Amino acid sequence: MPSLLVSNAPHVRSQEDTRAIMWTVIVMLIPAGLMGTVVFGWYAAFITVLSVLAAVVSEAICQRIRKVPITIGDGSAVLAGLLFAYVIPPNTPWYVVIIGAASAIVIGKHFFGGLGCNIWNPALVGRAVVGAGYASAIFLAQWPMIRRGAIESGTGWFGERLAALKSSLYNIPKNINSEVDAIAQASPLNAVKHAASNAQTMVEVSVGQGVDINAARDAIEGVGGSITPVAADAWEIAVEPSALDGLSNVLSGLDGLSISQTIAPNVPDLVQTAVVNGQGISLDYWNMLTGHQNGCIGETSAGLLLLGGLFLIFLKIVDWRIPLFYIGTTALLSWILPIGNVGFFSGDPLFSVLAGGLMIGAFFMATDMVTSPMTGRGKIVFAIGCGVLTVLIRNFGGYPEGVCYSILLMNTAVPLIDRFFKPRLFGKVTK
Amino acid sequence: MPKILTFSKGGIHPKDKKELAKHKPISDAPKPDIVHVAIRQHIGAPSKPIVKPKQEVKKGELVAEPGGFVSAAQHSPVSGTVKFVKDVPHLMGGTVKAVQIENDGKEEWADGCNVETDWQSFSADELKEKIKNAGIVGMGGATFPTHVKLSPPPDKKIDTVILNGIECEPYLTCDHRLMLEDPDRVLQGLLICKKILGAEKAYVSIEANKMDAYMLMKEKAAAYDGLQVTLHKVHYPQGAEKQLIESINGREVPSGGLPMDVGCVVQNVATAAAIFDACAKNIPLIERIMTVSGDGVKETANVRIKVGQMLKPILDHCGMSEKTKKLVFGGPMTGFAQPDAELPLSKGSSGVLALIKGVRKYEPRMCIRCARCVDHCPVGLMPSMLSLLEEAGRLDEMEHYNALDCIECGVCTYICPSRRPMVQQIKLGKQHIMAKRKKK
Repeated sequence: MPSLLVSNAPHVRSQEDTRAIMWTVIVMLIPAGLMGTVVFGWYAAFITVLSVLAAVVSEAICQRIRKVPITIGDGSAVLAGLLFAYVIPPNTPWYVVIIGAASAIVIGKHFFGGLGCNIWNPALVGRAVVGAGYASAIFLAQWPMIRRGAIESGTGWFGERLAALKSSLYNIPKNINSEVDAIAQASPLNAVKHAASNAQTMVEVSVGQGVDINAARDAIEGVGGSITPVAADAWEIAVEPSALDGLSNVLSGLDGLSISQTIAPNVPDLVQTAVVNGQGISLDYWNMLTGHQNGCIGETSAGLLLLGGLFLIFLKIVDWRIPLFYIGTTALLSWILPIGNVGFFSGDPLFSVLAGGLMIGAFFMATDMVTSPMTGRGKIVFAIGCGVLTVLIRNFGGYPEGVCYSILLMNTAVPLIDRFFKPRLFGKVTK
Repeated sequence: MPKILTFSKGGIHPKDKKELAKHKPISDAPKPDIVHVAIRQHIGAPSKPIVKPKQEVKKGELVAEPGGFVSAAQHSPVSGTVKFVKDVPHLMGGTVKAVQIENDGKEEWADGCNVETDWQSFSADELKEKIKNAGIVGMGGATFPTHVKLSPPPDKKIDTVILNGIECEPYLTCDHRLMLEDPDRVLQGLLICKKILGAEKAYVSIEANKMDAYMLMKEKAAAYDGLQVTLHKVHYPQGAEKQLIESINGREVPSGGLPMDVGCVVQNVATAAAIFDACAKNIPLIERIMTVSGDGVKETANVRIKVGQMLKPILDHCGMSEKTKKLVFGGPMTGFAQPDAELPLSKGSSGVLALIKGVRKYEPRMCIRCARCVDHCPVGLMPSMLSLLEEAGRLDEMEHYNALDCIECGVCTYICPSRRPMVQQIKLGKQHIMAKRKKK
C-alpha cells in the first residue's frame, strides 16, 4: 500500500480556485479591450500588452527580491496590468505605461506584502502615481478621439470600425503628437463639467407692440443678459442663473415685455449640445453604451463592461451589492446634486453612469476582493461611499472624473468597515 | 410534498456520494479474534478499567466504569478472556489505554443482558440509570455521554426532543440503513427520550436525499402518539445540532449556550436505537453500524461492528484497494485521516472511507479576502480573519472574532479557493483560548 496521506479535515474541497477566479475576471475584461482597440487603434492594444508585461515582470522581480515563490501564473499581476491599461488614455506614452504598471505592482502590492495584503487596488495606485507624475499625459483637456477614418470611411456601424482598424494598421503613432489622424475632443465628463460652469438660464420673452427696443436692450444687457431674437415678437435671453432675479426685476419694469418661459440649465440639455458641439459625433446614450465615446482604453465601452460584469455576478465571482449600490448611488446623486451653474435635481443619471470610468470602476475595481469589505452590509456601505465620493469629485472637485480616487479612499476605509460590520453571529444574545 | 426545512445562514452543498453505499443492507462484520475496548471513546473523563488479565468476561459485561459524571462505562462486546490493558492508537492521534479481550467465539451473554423487559414500566430516573449503565454516548460522532444530555438541570425545561437522522456528511449511510431496517427501535428510543425529558414535542429529522427512509419513518411514526417526522433540504451542515434546531422551530441556541437553553435536546438516530436496546433489552452499547465506503473499496458496505474490533480485517473484507491514498475515520467533512488501519473501532465510528480520486495535498496560499468563507459560515464568523490572526500568532484576539462559537463543520476550508486550512487554525485558536480561561 502506498503511504496514506494524513491531513486535516475536510477531506473534500470545492473545485474553485484563486487562479480560476483571476483568469475568469481577465477573460471578462478582454471584450472591452478589443473594443478599445477597434475604436482607438493599434496603439491602444500595444500599451495594453505593454502594461500587462510590465506588471508581470515587476511581480517576478519583486518576488525574487522578497525570496518568495514566483507566482506570475496566478493571474493577479496580469489582471492588475490589464486594469491599469484600461484606466489610462489610449495615447499615453509607452514609458508612462511601464512606470504606472510597475508602480501598481511594486508600490500597490509588494510594499504591503504581496497578494492579499495590499490596502489599495494596485491598478488604481498605478493610475494615481502616473496621475501625479505625468499629469499632462493623463489628465488631458483634449483627448484623442475616435479616428477620423472611422467616421468618414466605411459604411454602417461595423464597416466604420473595420475601416478604422484597417487605417490604423498603417498608422501606428510614435507618440501623441504624431496622432494626426485623430480628432481632439474633451472627454464627455470634462465637456459637461466645463459646459455646466458656463451654463446660462434661458428666458423666453414675448415682445409686444410699442416696446422701446433700444431701452429694453440696454436695460437687459445692463444686468448681464444677452439677447437673441428668435422671432419678430420673441427674444431669447441668456443669463447667469445668479443674475436671474435682477433680470426679472428689469423685465417687470418694462412695458410690453412678458416672460413666456424660463428654462434653468440642466445636464441632459448640456449633454446634447455641449458635448456634441462641432465634433460631428452625437453623444447619445447608445453611442456611449457601445463604446463610441472617448475616454480611457477600457472605459469607453460601458456596454461590454456591463456584460462582463453581469457574467461575473452570475458566476458568483463578483458580489452584486457593490456594482448595484455604487452605480445606484452615483446615478441618484448625479441627478440631485448641482454642478457648475446647474442647480439641484437637474442632473442626468444615465449620462453619469455611462460616461467615464464608472462601469469599470463599479464592476472590476471596487469589487476587487482584496481591497473591498467582506460582509454584505460592509460591501453596501463601501459601495455607497464610493458613489458619494465619485459624484462629489465629479461635481465639485478639481478633476472631471472621481472614480479612481473615490475607490482608493474607500479602500482605505475597508479595515474600519470590516470592524464595524461583522456578520451577525448565530445565537448572538441581544442585551 | 411536505415542507422542506433548512437553516437560515450559509452552508454548502458538496456531492453527497451516498449512492455508493445507500443500497447496501446492514451486514455483520467478520468476527474478531481479539477486541480492544478503549477507555476514551467519549468526551469527558476516561473510564477506569475494572478487570484483570486472565479474567473471564461475558458479552455485555462491564470492563471499565465511568471515570466521573461526564464519562461512560465500557463493556465487553464478546465473551472471552482479558489479556491485558495496553496502549492502542487513538483515531485522533496518540494512544489510548484499551482492555484487550480474546474472543472465545461463544457469544455468551452476561447475567441479565439481552432480556426483554417493558421499558414503559420504568420511571424516568430508572431509564436514565439504565442508559448510563449501558455506556451510551452520542453516536453521530460527537460521542458526548448520553445520560448527561438527558439530565438537564431542573431550571431548564425541555419541551422538544429531536432525533437527528440528517446524516449530512457525504458518503455516510449507516443512519440511513438503520432507519430503513430498524425504524421501530429508533422510534421507541425517541419515546424513551421523550419520557425521560418530559418533552411535549418529538421529531425525527431526515434529509431529502433519504426519501425512502422519510416515507417509512413517517408511516411508522403515525402509530405512535406525538411523533413528527421532518424533511430537510440537502445542505451541509444540516445535521449540526444548533442548525437543526433552528430549522425545525426557529430557535437559536445562544452563543456559548447549549440546546437545552432553548428547551431542546438532540440525539442521533443510532443513539436512540442504543437507548432502546439498553432500556428494553438491557443490552449495553457494544455494537454499532458503520459505513465502509469510498472509491478505494471494492465492496462498499454498512456493517454491524463490535466496539473495539480492529479496522484492518473489515477493510480487507471489503476489498480495500492497494491504490488507496487516504483513509478517513468518519465523514469527509469532519473525519480524521489515519496513517494506517491498525486501530480499534469505537462507539463513535460512523464510517470509514478509503479514498483515491481527488486526494491531494493542498498548499495554502495567501488569503485574497474573497469572503466565500464569511458568506458560507453557518455561524456567522469571519473565518478568514481568524485564519490570519492564527497565522500571525495573535491567538488572544481570536476570541473577539468569536472563535469559540465555531462548530468546526469545515465549510470555510471546503469553500476556500486559496486552500487555507481555516477550520484547523480556528480549532487551534479555540484550544488556546480555552487553556487561557482554565488558567484564570
